[in-house]
Amino acid sequence: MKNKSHLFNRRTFLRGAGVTMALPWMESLTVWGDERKAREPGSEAPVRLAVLFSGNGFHSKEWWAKGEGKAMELGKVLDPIADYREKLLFIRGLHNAEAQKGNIHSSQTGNLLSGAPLASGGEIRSGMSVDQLLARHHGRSTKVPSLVLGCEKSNPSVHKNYSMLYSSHISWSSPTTPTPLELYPALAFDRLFKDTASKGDQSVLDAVLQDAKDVRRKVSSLDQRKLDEYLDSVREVETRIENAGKRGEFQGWRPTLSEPNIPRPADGIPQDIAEHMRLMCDILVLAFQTDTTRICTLKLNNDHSSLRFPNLGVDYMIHHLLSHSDTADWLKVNQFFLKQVGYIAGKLDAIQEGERTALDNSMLMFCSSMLTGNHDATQLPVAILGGAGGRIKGGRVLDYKGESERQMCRLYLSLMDKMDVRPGTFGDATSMLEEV
Amino acid sequence: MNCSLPSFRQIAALFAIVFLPLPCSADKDDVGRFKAEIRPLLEKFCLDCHSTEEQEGELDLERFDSLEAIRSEGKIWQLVEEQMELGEMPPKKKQQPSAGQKTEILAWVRSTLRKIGEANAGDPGPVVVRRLSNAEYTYSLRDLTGVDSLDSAHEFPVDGAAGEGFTNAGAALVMSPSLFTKYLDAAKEVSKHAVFLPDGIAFSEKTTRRDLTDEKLAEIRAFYGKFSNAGGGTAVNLQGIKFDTKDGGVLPLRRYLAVTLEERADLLAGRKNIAEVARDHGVNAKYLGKLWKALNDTKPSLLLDPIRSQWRKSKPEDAQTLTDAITRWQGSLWRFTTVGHIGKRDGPRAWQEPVDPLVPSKELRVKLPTPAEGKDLTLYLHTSDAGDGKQGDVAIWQSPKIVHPKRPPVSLADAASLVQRVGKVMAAELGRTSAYLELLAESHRSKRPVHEIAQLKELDVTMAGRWASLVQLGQSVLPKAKGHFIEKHVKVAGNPEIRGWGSAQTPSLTGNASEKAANFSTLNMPGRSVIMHPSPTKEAIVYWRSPIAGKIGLSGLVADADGNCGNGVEWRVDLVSRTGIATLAHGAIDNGTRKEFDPKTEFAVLPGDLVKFAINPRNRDHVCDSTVVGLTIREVGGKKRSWDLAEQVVDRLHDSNPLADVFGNADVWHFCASETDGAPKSVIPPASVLANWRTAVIDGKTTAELKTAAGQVQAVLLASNPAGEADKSLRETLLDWNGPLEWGKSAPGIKAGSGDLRATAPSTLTYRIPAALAAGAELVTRVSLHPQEGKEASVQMRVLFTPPVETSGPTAGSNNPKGGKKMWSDGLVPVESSAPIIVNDGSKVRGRLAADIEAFRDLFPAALCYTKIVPVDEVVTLTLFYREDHHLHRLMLDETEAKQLDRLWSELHFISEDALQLVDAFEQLWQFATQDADPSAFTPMREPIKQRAEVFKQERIAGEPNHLESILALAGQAWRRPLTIEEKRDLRALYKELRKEELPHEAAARLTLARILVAPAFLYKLESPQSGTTSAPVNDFELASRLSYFLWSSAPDEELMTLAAAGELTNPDVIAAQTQRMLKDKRVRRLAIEFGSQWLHVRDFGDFDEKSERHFPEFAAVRNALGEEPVRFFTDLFQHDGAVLDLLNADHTFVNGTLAKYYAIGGSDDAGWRRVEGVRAKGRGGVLGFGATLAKQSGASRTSPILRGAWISETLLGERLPRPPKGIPVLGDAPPKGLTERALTERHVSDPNCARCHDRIDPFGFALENYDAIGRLRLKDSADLPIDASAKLLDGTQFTGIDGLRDYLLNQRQDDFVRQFSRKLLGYALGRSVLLSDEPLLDEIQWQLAQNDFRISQIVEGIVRSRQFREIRDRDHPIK
Repeated sequence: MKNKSHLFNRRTFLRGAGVTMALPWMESLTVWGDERKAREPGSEAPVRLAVLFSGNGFHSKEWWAKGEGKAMELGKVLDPIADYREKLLFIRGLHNAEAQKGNIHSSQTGNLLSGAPLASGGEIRSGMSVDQLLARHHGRSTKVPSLVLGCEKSNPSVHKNYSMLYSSHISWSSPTTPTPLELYPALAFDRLFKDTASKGDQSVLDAVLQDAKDVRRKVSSLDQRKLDEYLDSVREVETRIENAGKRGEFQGWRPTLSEPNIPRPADGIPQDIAEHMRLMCDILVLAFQTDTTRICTLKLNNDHSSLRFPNLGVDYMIHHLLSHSDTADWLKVNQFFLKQVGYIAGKLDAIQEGERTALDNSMLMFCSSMLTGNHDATQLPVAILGGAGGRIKGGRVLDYKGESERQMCRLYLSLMDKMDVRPGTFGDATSMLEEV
Repeated sequence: MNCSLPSFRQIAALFAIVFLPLPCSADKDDVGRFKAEIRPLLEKFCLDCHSTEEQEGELDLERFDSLEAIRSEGKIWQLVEEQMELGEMPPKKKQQPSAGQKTEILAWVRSTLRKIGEANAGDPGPVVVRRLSNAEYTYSLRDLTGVDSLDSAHEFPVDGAAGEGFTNAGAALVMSPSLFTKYLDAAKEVSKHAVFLPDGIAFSEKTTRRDLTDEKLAEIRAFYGKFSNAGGGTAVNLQGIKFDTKDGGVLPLRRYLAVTLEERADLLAGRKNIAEVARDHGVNAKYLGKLWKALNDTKPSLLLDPIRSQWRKSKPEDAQTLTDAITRWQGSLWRFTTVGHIGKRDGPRAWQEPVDPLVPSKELRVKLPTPAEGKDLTLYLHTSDAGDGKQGDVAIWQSPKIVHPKRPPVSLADAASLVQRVGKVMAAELGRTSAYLELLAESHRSKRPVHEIAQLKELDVTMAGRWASLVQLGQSVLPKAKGHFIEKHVKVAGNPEIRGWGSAQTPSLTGNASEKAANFSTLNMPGRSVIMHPSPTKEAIVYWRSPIAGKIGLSGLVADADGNCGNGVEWRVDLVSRTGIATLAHGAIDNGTRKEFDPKTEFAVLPGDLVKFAINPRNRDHVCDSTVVGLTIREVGGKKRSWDLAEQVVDRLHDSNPLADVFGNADVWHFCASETDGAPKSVIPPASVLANWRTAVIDGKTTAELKTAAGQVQAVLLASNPAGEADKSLRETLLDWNGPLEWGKSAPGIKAGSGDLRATAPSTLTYRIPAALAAGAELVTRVSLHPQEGKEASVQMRVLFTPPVETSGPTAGSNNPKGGKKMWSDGLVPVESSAPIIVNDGSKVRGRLAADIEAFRDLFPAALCYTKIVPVDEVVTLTLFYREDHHLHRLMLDETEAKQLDRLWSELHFISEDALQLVDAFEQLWQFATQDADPSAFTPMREPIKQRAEVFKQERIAGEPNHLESILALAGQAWRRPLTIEEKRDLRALYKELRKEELPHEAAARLTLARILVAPAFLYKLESPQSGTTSAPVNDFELASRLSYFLWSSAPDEELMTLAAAGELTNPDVIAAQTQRMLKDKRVRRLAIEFGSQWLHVRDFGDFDEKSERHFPEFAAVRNALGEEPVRFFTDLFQHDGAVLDLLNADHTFVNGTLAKYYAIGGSDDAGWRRVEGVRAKGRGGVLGFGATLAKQSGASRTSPILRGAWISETLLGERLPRPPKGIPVLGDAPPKGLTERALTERHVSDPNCARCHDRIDPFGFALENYDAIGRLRLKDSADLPIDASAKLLDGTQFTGIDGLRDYLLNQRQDDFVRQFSRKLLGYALGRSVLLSDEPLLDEIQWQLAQNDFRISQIVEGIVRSRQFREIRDRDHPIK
């Protein structure tokens, strides 16, 4: 980036995010957005954002779309979502400039949703991701501010001087805090629906909050930031306890489902990856349908993923190594991931919310950290399903290839706009993609 | 290879420099040189791209126009060095510096970097405050609670790695609301493991009161078990109480006796003392001492003297015989009671109670055995001197006689002549059988009294009367069912479908109309069933009154409905008809058993005949006698109907009694009870000649016919062996002395004898008793001492059936119950000895004997303690935990052990809260007792139980402050430092607040505990920096934590905390000594995992799931073992201070059976973990040969020389490789067949862009091609082609296979390897990346290693003594 004012803006923003950590969210956020008033209860359904991610890109010849509406043609990777082509916005040619610096894989992933530069050399620093920024804004409207799910354990090592945390986390609640992923379907379910607070919890939380405040005064500013993670976490848990039982009063909209309509998944992580993904998809749909959260990130696998797919008959090579080829098996695996997207889309589309379906009221963004397995992130694969409450027209292909202002972060500004959050700048972008 | 590290000689020099301040002149020289020589070169070759304007790769080198600027950003210059050294910069397409220029720039950069490092040497660096890693959190909790099974972080998200690649670096350890929720849940879960004890809190694996109680019981039993016979396991049965000698609390006598015999010579000679012997044999010294003293004591003792003399004659192998002799006396002098009711009126006082065998006189009633067919019985009246050998012991056998319940008693003296006389009478009277029968027939016909006709016919009147009552012709009237229940039971156990008849207590009959089984009280009543319950004196009866004339068959069932208790029941089915009573089936069932009966015979019935089904108590004990009864009667001909008791009555049970059957016949079922003994018994076998005669009489047959029938009877009685079972049975019955014809009473002139017999001990009187007289009889006599001659005598008098053997001592008898229990609430049944010692009360000899017996009991209690603890010997018990261990205490325990035992018991009571539970239990028992027993028997227990409950409540309240104190102490441990006064106050305040929120004590205490475990002080490694911008030592406690989290991944132990509190830990020598101690501790295994395995990238290898199951189905089974090998290797290395170079060239490794087989090392498959030597020859040894690393650095189905090569280069040697390029070619579809895995790799990287880097790393991997993708040695690769394991490095070095690679690393790359290991361990210890300012320390460590055989402790000590480890940057240190 040569535009220094941009750099300056970004840094200001990041610092701002760091400082606001210790403050209640709403106070700090009004600075950025021309926030609309909360809707009256019973008015139209809210717009939700789901970000689905799979690492290592796709088959180099089968990720494409052309044409419009019903006539839209799709590459084979996208076969599983072909039924929803009229609700599909296929975007090509966007990129993330920061991801082209640094290492492969990890440093192409840790900033996918923020466009932030990544720290190397054993340090951890990215930027707050778009989902978490939205959660800060909309989080108080729902029981759970946002849901961050994953289907593959994160990788506890450092690779080529970059922590593999970057490979495993696209969602960041602060520049130094990758949001821990929930891998256990049962615990994800509990997070949405179980109110664990018991008598006396509030007193305990008050006490440890005071501890943390006392300690915070005595440590360096670097350490203060670390302790703020703790303080914020305790505060959110407190808020959740306070709000327990107050649902409806604050969320402003009555969902079509008030209680989960599927049983709590079994404890543990399913042995079968297909089952694991399917359960996580179900939970995502359920979260939206019950309006327990409006923002969800589901990382189907890591970048530099080690998953194998015995369920597809492909277990001779792990996902990452498979991605370096263009074999039929690689295509099969790609389609398996798209099937998850199609599954969620299908379920959401079957939920009628007034005149629209839940899919029409949502944005289901599917992306990866590179287009193909060759580490090339000069353009990123993006497919968005759903109408954002009538604000996105589907059945279209947008191509930004060759344009100068083709930052992914411009797309995020657009997506935030659909959810009435308008920070003005985000990451390395200062304007939205008008066409979206 | 162009090595950037200084040689050893250089290091030695550097080492000196490190501690010298940099002279200013040097600084000035550097500035000059930079401006004059280096900056121009940079401008020429670098600044085109890396200018402030261009900033290619975000790198601006232009801004470095002064040395000052360079020094503040050493990191960037490290990058410059790295890129140039790798040949990456300047890019190939750009203008290249000459070799000399390149060397010059590099040399300058290096020396500048070194100077930067030296200038800041020892800087603690930026170490961000951090939470504990999941592993540290788990270990800290385990160490805090002592519960090793805690796995609280099990479902936490995986920690990230940062710094030098470990999961203990602050940057990667984040917190989030969902994670905090998990911490809170986990803390609450841990707090559930807190166990509240009288004096504080402990932790347990268990969480429920029941489990905790069981755990404590197991501890007490284990304590008791220590004093029992370890090799035991023999079952012992003492008066019905079964023991296992291993854990039954029985004194392991044989063992102790054996020891005294084995060591007798040495002990007597003083070559050994008791303590030594006890230690050598693993027995209790205190008891051994007592036993030894008793065996060698010379003080006379009636009981011990024979034992002593036997002991002196015994050899070690005779220990069992000796033991048997003692055991016999134990059985005689002790009795075991049922402990459930200790404390009730007349109840037992203890489980093991003494029995006194000394009596002044005793009535002997000895049941006579039945002698063999045709033989007489010989009887010996034996009087012995009770072992004291005193002459002139004169005793009396008072009027000994043979008593039979159906005959007059016979004096022992008269017994012999009796048989002869009876025989004469029988012969005469049996010959007149037809005459007696004719007499009866006539009496029946004419209604004249039998005695009148007898006198007329000159028959014996008494005999005629016996015949008359035998044949019972007077009973040829309809039998009647009697004793009908009149009281109804409704809604039994609250269930409207269960109802019954009977007395409020017992007997009773109950029916369940529901299909469902019912469980109430201790009963289990099946659906659609009938149960009966007798009383001690009354049998419960169901009658079926025949509505038909014809033949019936029947079948049925008797089953205990209450298997929990009782002694079973007796049962009987009779046919009561006009012709008398016949028993169709009968028997007894034991507790918990069942019996189905189905006599195959058919029986003739007339309308009004009764089938009687009776349930009797056994031995008058009716406890738990509820019995499920089934009865089905089938009509053989006619309408072939069937009457099933349960089906016919359960729905209509209360309609009436008697009750009609379902076919409309009135009064078929009768529910009754009658006296047990009053029931007439059948004597005439059905279908016998006598039964036929009787029927003939009733049917009014002609005189001639009757005569013939009577003749048949007489013939049967006179024949020696009649045909037919019925007639045989008839003859046996009628010829029985005690049978209906009462021959035993028939012999004239017999009267009870009265003569007393005088006996002087020792003596034996012998008598012969005819078999007929002995059968069913007993000998009754009373024994006592002669009033004048035997005043000070002591004798034993016994009735024997084999000739007495003269013994030297008194004989031990057995204890027999005197009388029985009528109700379960009755008191303890007294017992008496079968071989008492007769001695007069108040005599001197009695005093002496009593003292001897007492001493014997004290030394040889039958049981040391009641190890069952939970009594299960009664139906209902008022003791939950019974403690009786005073003998153990007295004979074996020392003071410490006694205290320990007391403490365990006190904890058991506290945990189980049995004192409170007993209050409810008592009320239940009381209610029970009001139903069918005497509740007042339990009155004495009521108050003590109440009082104990009150006392317990007080104790519990008294324990609360202790629990709080315990929690405060735990907080100090958890927070790894002493609490401030305010913190203590706040914790107490929180507890009080929670109590105010109406949480009970334990809940509030647990929540307070949870609060401690989610506090930042527990979850985070907190340190408080000074204000300022330099650095300062951390305090003692912080240092203790640094040390323990470094070496143990956990909180400091007590020793570290004590040293910290004393302010001694900051002393470098103390910390070094502690380090040595900690490295030897088993907890260093955690360092092996967290550092060693993590460094090699094989941590959690047991979960490694990247192998194709299709290609390697065997892999899953060996994963755990593969992962364990490096852990064991590193643990050993740290614990035994091995050499760092062992990591490369060790000739040993660690395997279990699975791994040995996998590695083809040999040994058995199921062997445990062990160290094996000589493994290099088998392709193992050191990290290069770990199956785990070889498998980890492979693909899912194929090996990957690239991954292995990169691992060696980066992980083992610390080389910085160029980043893989972006936009590498995507490979096409499947590769051609017939390529080796190696060739495949070579093909993939043939692109020149790739080769640049792969030529650097792949050769390392090629050298390991002899290992397959799961780490096994192989001869051919997966394409079945021969292996080529030769390698050629970029610099031309060549080697082959693992041995070649190992040699290369050891000889040519030793410095790099050692440096890398030290760097990684330092980075792990500090929880951050290694900085330039750490290089001097690494230099020093490397130098120290070379001087000290590369001992690994040199590195650890170097680290813990370093400033960076012991200091912290000040609070306001500028952040870059």
